[in-house]
Amino acid sequence: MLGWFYRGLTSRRVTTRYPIVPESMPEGFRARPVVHPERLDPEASWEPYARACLPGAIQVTEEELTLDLGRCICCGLCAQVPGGAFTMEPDFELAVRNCQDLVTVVRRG
Amino acid sequence: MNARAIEERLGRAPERARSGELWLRLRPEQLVYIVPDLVEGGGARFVTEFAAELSERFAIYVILDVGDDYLVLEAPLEAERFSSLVVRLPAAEWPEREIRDLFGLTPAAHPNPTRLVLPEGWPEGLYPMRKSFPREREVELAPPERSGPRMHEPVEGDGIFHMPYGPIRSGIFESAQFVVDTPGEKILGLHLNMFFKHRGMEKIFEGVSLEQAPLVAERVSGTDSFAQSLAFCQAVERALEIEVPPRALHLRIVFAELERIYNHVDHIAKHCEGASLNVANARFSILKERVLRLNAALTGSRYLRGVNQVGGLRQDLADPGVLLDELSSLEKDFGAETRLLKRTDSFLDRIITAGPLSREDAVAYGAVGPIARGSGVDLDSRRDHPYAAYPELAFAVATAADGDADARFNVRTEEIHNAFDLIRQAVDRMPEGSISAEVPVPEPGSRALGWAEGARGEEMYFVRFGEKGLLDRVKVRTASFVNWPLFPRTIEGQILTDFVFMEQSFALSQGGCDG
Repeated sequence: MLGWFYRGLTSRRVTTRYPIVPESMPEGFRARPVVHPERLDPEASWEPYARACLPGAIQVTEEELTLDLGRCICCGLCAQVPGGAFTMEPDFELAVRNCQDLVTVVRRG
Repeated sequence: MNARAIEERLGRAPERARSGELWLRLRPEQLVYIVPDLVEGGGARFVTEFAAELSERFAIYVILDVGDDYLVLEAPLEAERFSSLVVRLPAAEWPEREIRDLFGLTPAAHPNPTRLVLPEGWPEGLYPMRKSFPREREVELAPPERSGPRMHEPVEGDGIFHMPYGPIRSGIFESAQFVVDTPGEKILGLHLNMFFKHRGMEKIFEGVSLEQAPLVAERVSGTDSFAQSLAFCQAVERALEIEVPPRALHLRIVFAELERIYNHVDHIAKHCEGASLNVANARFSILKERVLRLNAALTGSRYLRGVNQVGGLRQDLADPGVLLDELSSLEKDFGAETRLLKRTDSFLDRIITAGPLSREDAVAYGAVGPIARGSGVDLDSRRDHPYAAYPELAFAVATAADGDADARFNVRTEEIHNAFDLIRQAVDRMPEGSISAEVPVPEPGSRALGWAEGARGEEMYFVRFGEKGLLDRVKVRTASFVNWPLFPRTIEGQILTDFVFMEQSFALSQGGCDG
């Protein structure tokens, strides 16, 4: 027991000062899918993005594309679809007060 | 036992489907004597039993571990019933009840033919794994008819009461209910009620594209994500004869062993928490967090998700230097903490003799993983049925004889040391080159087994492709599903105070069990 006592005393603090001091995630950390509307080809079908999404977080109709972060599993398959309208960003602070705020809608034109 | 010995025993030669996998087609009535004969007489290990719906009829499959190979016995059924193996093979109890629930095939002469995985209130005569049951269908549950927990053959007598514990418990335990028969402190009987959150994972696989299916496998059990996706991908790669590039085979070792390390370290931290060693708990938890952060830095996912894909990997290891530096620091710190823990009497007093599992029970129930190895069963699919780059690497399989929580603790600490060594070997020998192979269009009817030794033991998958090359049947048999039925056997005669150690020393996944 005494061994653990000394070990506890000599440990440095590992708790960080988050959220006062922001916490950065490594490059390539898949936390937030971001849709870049300017890279969505207005002439082409957006269906491939919806097809790439297993949980149905990306839904596509003729007029619009919807991204619902509440359904996303951060797999990053949307970021591999040719066209590159989606990227995965390391920003993990996804919490919002209203679940509608998790939804992004991009309309054609 | 090899293919020749099986032929001598059965009078028929199994067909070699591919390396490590034999197949034999039987009539259903033959299973009842052939399977127990291969297990009791031939020393085969019962892996699992499951059903599939072929065109127009059902079939029962039994997977056996016959030494160097897995043997799959296939028995197409004429009717919607089959003879139960349970009387001679206790390990078949849960698989056969699962078949009954999900496919509506009756295991004749099963000693406990009651509902296992479907919730109470699920309508009779509705079998969700049948093809006639659409994946999207929603079912309204009837309100449960009786009150009180479900118990099979409870211990009765003066002063004995039945104490339900769960499914909602403190902390972040998953949903499971333990009903304890006890006169006060001693545990006389334990009933497991599980499958509260059965998600129908096997049904979810059907029709999913091969690009997305590994993501489904990862969600079978969150803390075994890499082992699950590895077993699944290897099953598909074997079925489609995909040759995975050597670099990917080595990278898979790195990630599989990182997963083993963080799981085993977490298990030790939980043991320390149970023994109220708060400093030790904190220090092992820090080590676990460091491994998760290393995972995140290497792959972008703390739990190694989205890394495996059919044919190889989605991501390469950019800079092995980061990995090797952190690895040697982790190994040094882990060694120091473990040495101190192994000298801490208040810890050892709690785990030595707690939750003993006899070798006989471990063998009879087909236990896998550290639970089997802690009871002296020398079994590890990385060595016995080698896959990925394991055949090229040198490692010892850790075992212990005593079968108690201490034995399982020792097996896990040794496995952590071995895992550090395996990762270094894999990095040292890692060839250059591509990390993924092309995936051909699946032939209808092609099928194979795939497996991986996860932190909890052998994770076994069976895949079969149907028309249009879509996944037609995926059988998921996790290590947790096999090992849970053994838990009551370790606990009878023990005391309630030690319950937490016994449960933690099993360290099973509820999600993986529920499926």
